[in-house]
Amino acid sequence: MEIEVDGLRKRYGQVSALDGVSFTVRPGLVTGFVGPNGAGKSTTMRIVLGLDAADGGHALVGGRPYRSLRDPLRAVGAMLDAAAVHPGRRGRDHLRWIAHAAGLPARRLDEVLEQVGLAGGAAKRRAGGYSLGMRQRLGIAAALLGDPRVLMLDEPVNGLDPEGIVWIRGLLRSLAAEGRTVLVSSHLMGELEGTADRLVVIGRGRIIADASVPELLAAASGGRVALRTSAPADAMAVLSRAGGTVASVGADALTVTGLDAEAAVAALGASRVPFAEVSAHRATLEEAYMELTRDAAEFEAAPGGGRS
Amino acid sequence: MTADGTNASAGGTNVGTEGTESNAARTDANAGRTRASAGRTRAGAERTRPGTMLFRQIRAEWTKIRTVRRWTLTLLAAAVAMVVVSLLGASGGSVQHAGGPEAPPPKGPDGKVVRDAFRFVHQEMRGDGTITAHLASLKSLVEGEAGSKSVPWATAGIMVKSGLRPGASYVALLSTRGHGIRLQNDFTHDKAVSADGTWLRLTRSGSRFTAYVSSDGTSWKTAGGVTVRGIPANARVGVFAASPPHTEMSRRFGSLSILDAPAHAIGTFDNVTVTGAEPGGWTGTTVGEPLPEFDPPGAPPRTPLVKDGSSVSGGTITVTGSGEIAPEQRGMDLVQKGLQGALVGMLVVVAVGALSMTSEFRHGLVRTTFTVLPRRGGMLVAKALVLGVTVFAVSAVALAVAFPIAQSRLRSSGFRPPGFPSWSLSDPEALRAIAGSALLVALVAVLAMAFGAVFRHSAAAIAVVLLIVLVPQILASALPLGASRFLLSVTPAAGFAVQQSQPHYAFTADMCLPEDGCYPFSPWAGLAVPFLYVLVAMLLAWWLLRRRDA
Repeated sequence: MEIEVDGLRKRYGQVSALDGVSFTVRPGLVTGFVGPNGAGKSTTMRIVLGLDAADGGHALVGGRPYRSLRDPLRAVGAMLDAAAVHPGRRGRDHLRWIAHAAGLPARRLDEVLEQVGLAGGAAKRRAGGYSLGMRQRLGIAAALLGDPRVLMLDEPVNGLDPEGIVWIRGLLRSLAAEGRTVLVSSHLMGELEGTADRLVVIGRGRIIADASVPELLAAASGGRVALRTSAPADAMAVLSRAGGTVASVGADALTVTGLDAEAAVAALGASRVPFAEVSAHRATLEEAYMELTRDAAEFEAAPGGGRS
Repeated sequence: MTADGTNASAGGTNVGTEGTESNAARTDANAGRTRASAGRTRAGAERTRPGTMLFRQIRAEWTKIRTVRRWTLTLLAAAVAMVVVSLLGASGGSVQHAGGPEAPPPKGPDGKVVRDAFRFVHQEMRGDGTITAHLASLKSLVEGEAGSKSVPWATAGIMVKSGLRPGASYVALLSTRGHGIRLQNDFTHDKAVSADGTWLRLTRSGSRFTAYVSSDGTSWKTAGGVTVRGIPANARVGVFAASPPHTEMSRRFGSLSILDAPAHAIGTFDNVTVTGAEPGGWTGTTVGEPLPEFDPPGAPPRTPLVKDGSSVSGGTITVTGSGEIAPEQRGMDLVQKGLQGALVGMLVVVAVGALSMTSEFRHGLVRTTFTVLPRRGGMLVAKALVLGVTVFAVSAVALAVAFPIAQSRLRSSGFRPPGFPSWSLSDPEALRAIAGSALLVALVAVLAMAFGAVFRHSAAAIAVVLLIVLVPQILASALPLGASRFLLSVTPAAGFAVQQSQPHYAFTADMCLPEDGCYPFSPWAGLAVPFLYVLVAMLLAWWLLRRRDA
């Protein structure tokens, strides 16, 4: 089951929250949905779930609008807001009404509580006393209740302790490995490093990038090579001849673009120019993200995300 | 999206099957209906069964409402409040029975307490027969300062009555000062039969009585007929006159002052003929209790202008009478008095009703609800059913517990037979009042829930419901009668009419005062008003839920 989003537009008053958002989320992969706060992640998810009406475009799950799904909870599990629990209701009762609404058997309660690590005493306590991490787990349990083919989690890592972060990464990977479609949003790209296979980057209501993680990293690294040499003038001449663009960044430090590390080493070796510390500059996902969203960050009041 | 073309062709096969289609179209603004329909076609046989969905929704809402401990406790508190306040309400006030046992009030043929006092000039009629009389004049005479006034219900006419005992079964064709000519029988049955006419005729044939009216004594018009089985073959037949007192009422905030002045009706009859009667003269009798003493104790005795009585001279009979032939309506409605807790319980329940909806919005739960079950109207209906049935059950039990205790307290305060009826749970009027009160509390809770969906804010929802339910109740005794009756007709407070145990008969001189527990509508008609409010609020809530983003 795929999630297809095509040309979504949404305005809140004068503010355009989504301005032609299109992407596809495929099964078997963890797709990260990243962007600064207020970029339109939550709005997109709400429209996919049929909660908000789009002003234009459409969103389909498995080829159908969400609201026409026969048994939506068995098709799509979603966690939009971990705080969406009545504080006076026990965690288990929160899941129980959802199970009743979806026509699911009571044994699913124990199964998902076990799965998210809330089995035992925690589920019998009232949700008002839960930590943010426990609420996240309860929200994820609710999303898993229908054993859905598609999972949509809005900021699931938020508020988890390191142990919880490791747990959720493993959970997301295993859900994708079972062939499910997993869409996870975050405003921090680093949270998704090592978890997401694909990234959809959104900023100011527009998709900025939609690519696999290696592609994004390569684009952000820009193929730069850094090296040190005792003969910078010779080295610059040699590398330029070999096709690189060389910049001097210190007394004995150069950076080369347009050549990969092996080619640079081969050219310098052939010309017997002394060098040391050749390294390919490798961007982190966070850097790639910063670069992509530099223009898209919306720090001013962001009505698009304000209602989440 | 490449599927547009194929979807569009499939669309025609499946348009307009169910409401969800338009929901789908909202998400899918451009591709719209065709796409949604295509999805349904693909789903084939496994289409949503609305019944199953509603069942799930009801089950989910029931789980929601019972798993928030605060709501359960609030509902229990409402039940306790209903019992306690009903008992407190029943404890206030007492009746002193000074001077030994009073005479039991007359009871009508159906066993209900009645007023039966008038001047009767009569003779015996055996079996079938006819009485005809020309009412030459009907005067209304009010004593004291209000002497120029006339009493609209001053009456004179012809009557067949089983006997002279107050409360005995009768049929009367009578003319009134202000309400035309009417055919009445057995105290609670009344029919306006003609606007004018001075000649009256009443024919008995077995248990069938037919009334005729004429303006000249020659051309008669059938005015109506009734069947009354309680009148034996040997009955009294004759002419009568009666007049209720002249009443002036002034209402101020919470207090009511009524000025009653004795009044008489003077009817002058000629051409009185009776067929089927034994030969013999007319007898004049004052039926029932004489007029009660109106002057305050210690005041100098007033010389009455006229005295009740009658005279027969030649063919003319003059009858001067006071009193009423009517069902007893004045006095406290003890059933209502024992159910005063319903109002207080309602205040508590309004909070639960509003919160059951607004908490969904406040905590963002509504998004979970709508993702699990996207049919928003279904959620509204399920909430209304669960809340309504729960509140009804709690209130019905609380009121049914409180009622017998309240009644026994009232009896021990002096509200007991013969002056007052004795009510128990087995009386249909009491059961109706209890079930109806519980229904009213439930309706108001559902109203608060629907307003919760409209305003998405508990304070606003609660305030509006209290404003339209409670304020009219409070103002009812303060405003002028017309305004308070208007408020009690058009606001949900009209539903309190369901607590009335005694019907109000409009054909008597008694006024229907809210502070006496008399409402503009009959019990079930009154309950229909809050029901209509719930219906409108639910439709508004449904429309807004569908229209707004969750």
